[in-house]
Amino acid sequence: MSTATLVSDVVTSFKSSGRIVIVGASLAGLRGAEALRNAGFNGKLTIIGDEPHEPYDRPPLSKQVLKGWVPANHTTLPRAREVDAEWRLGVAATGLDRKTKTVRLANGDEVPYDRLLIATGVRSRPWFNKVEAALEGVFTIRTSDDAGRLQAALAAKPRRVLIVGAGFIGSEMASVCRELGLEVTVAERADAPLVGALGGVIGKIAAEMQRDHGVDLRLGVSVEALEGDAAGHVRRARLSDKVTIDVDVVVASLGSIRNIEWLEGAGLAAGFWGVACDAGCRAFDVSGVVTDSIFVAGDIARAPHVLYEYQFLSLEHWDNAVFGAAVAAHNMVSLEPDRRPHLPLPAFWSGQFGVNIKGVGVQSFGDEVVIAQGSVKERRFAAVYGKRGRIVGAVTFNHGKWLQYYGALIERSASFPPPPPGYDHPADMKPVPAEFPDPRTPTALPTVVLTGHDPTDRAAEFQPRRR
Amino acid sequence: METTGRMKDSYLTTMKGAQEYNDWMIEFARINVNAAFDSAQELCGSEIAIGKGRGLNMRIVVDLNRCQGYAQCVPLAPDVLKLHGEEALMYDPNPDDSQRQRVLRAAASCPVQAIMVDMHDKGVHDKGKGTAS
Amino acid sequence: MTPETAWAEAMKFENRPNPYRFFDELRKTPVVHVGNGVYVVTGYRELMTLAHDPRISSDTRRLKAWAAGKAESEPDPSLEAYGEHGSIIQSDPPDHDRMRRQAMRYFGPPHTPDLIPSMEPAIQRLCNELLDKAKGKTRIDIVDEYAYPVPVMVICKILGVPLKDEPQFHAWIYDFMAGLMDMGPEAATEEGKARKEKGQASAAALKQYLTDLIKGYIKEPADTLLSRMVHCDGPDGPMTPGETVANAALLLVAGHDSTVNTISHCVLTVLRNPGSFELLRRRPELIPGAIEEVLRLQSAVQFFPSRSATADIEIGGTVIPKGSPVLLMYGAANRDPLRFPNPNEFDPERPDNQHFGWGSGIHTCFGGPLARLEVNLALETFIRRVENPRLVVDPPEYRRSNVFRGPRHLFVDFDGIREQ
Repeated sequence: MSTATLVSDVVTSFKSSGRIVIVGASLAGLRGAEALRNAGFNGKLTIIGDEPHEPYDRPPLSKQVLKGWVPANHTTLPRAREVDAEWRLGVAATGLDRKTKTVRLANGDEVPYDRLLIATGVRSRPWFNKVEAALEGVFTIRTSDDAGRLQAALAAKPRRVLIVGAGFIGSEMASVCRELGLEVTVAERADAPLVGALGGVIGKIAAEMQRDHGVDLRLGVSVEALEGDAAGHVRRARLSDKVTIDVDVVVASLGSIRNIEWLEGAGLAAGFWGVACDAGCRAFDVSGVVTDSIFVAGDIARAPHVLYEYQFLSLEHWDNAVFGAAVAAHNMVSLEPDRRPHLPLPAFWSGQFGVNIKGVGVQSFGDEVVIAQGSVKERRFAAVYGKRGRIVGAVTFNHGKWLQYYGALIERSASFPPPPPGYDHPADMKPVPAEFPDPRTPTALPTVVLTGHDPTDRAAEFQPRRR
Repeated sequence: METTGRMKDSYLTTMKGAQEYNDWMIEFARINVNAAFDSAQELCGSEIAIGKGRGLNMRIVVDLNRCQGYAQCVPLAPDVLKLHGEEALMYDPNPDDSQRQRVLRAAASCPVQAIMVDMHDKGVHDKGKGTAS
Repeated sequence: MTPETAWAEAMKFENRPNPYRFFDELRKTPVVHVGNGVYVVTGYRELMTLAHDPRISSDTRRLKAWAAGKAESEPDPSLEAYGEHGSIIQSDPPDHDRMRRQAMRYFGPPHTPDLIPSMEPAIQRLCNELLDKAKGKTRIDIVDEYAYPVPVMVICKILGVPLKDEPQFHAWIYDFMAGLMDMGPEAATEEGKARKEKGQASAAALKQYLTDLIKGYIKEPADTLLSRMVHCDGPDGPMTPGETVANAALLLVAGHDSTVNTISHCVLTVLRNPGSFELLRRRPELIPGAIEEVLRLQSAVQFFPSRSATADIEIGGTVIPKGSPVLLMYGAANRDPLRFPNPNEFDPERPDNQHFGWGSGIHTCFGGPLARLEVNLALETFIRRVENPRLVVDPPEYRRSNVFRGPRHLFVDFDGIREQ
């Protein structure tokens, strides 16, 4: 019997009678399950999720749900196909035993696997003070339950909303507050909104957008303390510039924490930036050896990317969950040479203050930025980021039909700045420094982070720009 | 960048994989919609009537990375799809099934096929759906 | 076959019913020079790329300048038909974007999302009336008796063009299409030249008619799109009268001619593919997808001769020199086997049907949602009510234009018309 036949038999046998467990029942978990069935996996499939809901879509939660148009439990995801799985919803995974190949659940159950997909994603960073966090009216937003509660709080017409953190989600929520006619203060430690993701030049435009829409935007300011009333409801916030403001609702939009706690002791390369895996979604162990039976997808994954010097890329992007889960699933039922790489061209969108912001590539990898098309004044433009003479990222404001042109330039590592358009030249077409903050300055975590070359995450950190 | 050559090869392989995945996902969306419609046919007869709820709930998701704001869809299902500003799309992910034909017209109209539609009877959906522990 | 020959054959009137085998020949080189400095794009990937490339212009004044610089060829007269002011289809940003916003403000979302849906009852009613008229007959010309009246009624109502003048501007538009929208070899014949002259005269007459109409609206505002365009109170302000005339002409022509051709092609395609009529009758939820598939196959606007390269552009293994006219062939690219498996097959359930039937990029069809509502209702009603329809002749006689392509008549025999 040849090796090829042996290998093929293993794959066939696994596809028909293997056991796969997916931990995480959100977008990545669902799409991974569908992809497994599509790849011909007919064995036992178990999907574990800590939330008691069918997989649902999160992006609408900070927009049409908060606005009150759509109920919070109304974002259930469509299925691409039946997945014929055993669903264990509303129970968290609490441990992983790689020797016995079992997942331990919060209720004591143990679920055995032959192959495992880790898709447990992220949770909101809570308010740093536990007592203050427990006050009525203090929220984070990640789950549909969060969104339901916050939606109700906004509908009750609070006198002022305080949003702490002007990243994409914080900015979207501020936009919704203004659409609802609510007074809103945004407190941001950096000197502009969206600055970790898009740099100071574009951040300045984002700041103007907020102020033009009546947001009380306070930059370079953090929130030191929250105070409640006798009934335990938040009423005041004390800022780092010693100003105190009256607030009825506080939303902490402080970024995400990867849900890696349940993997403690399992010996995987799991850390602050998630679980490290190779470009085929196979998890690394803590010594940098790739595993055979454990795969990672979605917000919790960090994987090396050839476009970015093979640095490990940690993405909180919708596309990354969908495509990553599909590649992981394919590779879970394949052996060499049939495995595929997951090499996403990072992409995101954000709707806020009447503007559709879309991005492609890793803007923060760039040193310089140029307005390539359109008008900054009208907030309709395309901006392109360059590093050492190559295009690495782009962002459009209400100019989304042009983005794919710049995406193609990024894929080819085309030279920066791009050639001028045939028309609609911006007033100023000179490249300028992009003004990304020193990563050692605390700021909202961007949704795409380059985390160095260390697979074990022991030394992983947001790499400072080399000048 | 010297990685350009390698990037191109491996990237193109990935994009091909992504394209295959895309094709597959749409293929199964199609089969899935058919399956749902077959059961709907049994329930409803051969005519789709707008405005008569039949106990089916719709689920849609729009790939807002693909979406470029053409807005061909919005006027075809204005209760379900709306524009925020001139380009950002907002939508109701679980619309009432009385919107069925409108949503299908809207989904077909998308030049980049960013709208995924799924319709399922409550309960017919998946065998062995476990209970929360 | 050389590209020049393939191009000429594809544009010939005798090949109007099926130019696609010549497009297949052309597509061997997806971006290719076909003579006179003109580049033709028939590959899907290449068309997608160029439609999103900001070095591709739609401003027809560039073509005039380029043609003037080339002693041998005459400037394309079709360009003059649209007036001194470019409509949106022949303009670049920022003017294009501004005019499109101004026109869209009172036509569709975000400002007026309910205008198009509000037309549904009137459209449905007219479709039914047209079929009621056919009761007792056994043959109908789908083009003149079904496809044509619906879009005309709708666009006149929306724009504010008096329906009573319809026979007059129908004739002008007919002449314009036949005389100025023919890129084939027949245009150079004596007959072709005569058609061209007639087309120019009719285009001028149409322009004068619209100018007078808009002058009336300037004096007396009314609840119509043309009036609102010229009185627009939005952030972009009003269009100039000249811009309004140019865009009015575009919307009037596109608003009925292309839609008529699409409805005709839908009936033609469904009846040409046995089993399709029964399938869509059994499963009307498939109709929206079927319409898109018809557009992929037959693309009412095959291309629009406005574009040029503003710089040397490397694509598809060649370099388009700066200034060259570039023709994006939507109908041809829609049948690229690299993108669409079994490209010549009608598959109403074709997955991931990202076709170019409505264009691509910033110039994607302005009236698309309205046209789709009309075509959906027209096709649904036809399928629901017409008993045992059969094509009388296939292929039917086609109109002259290779740009706005559609049957001149489409005779269908039937057994009866069901009640509503």
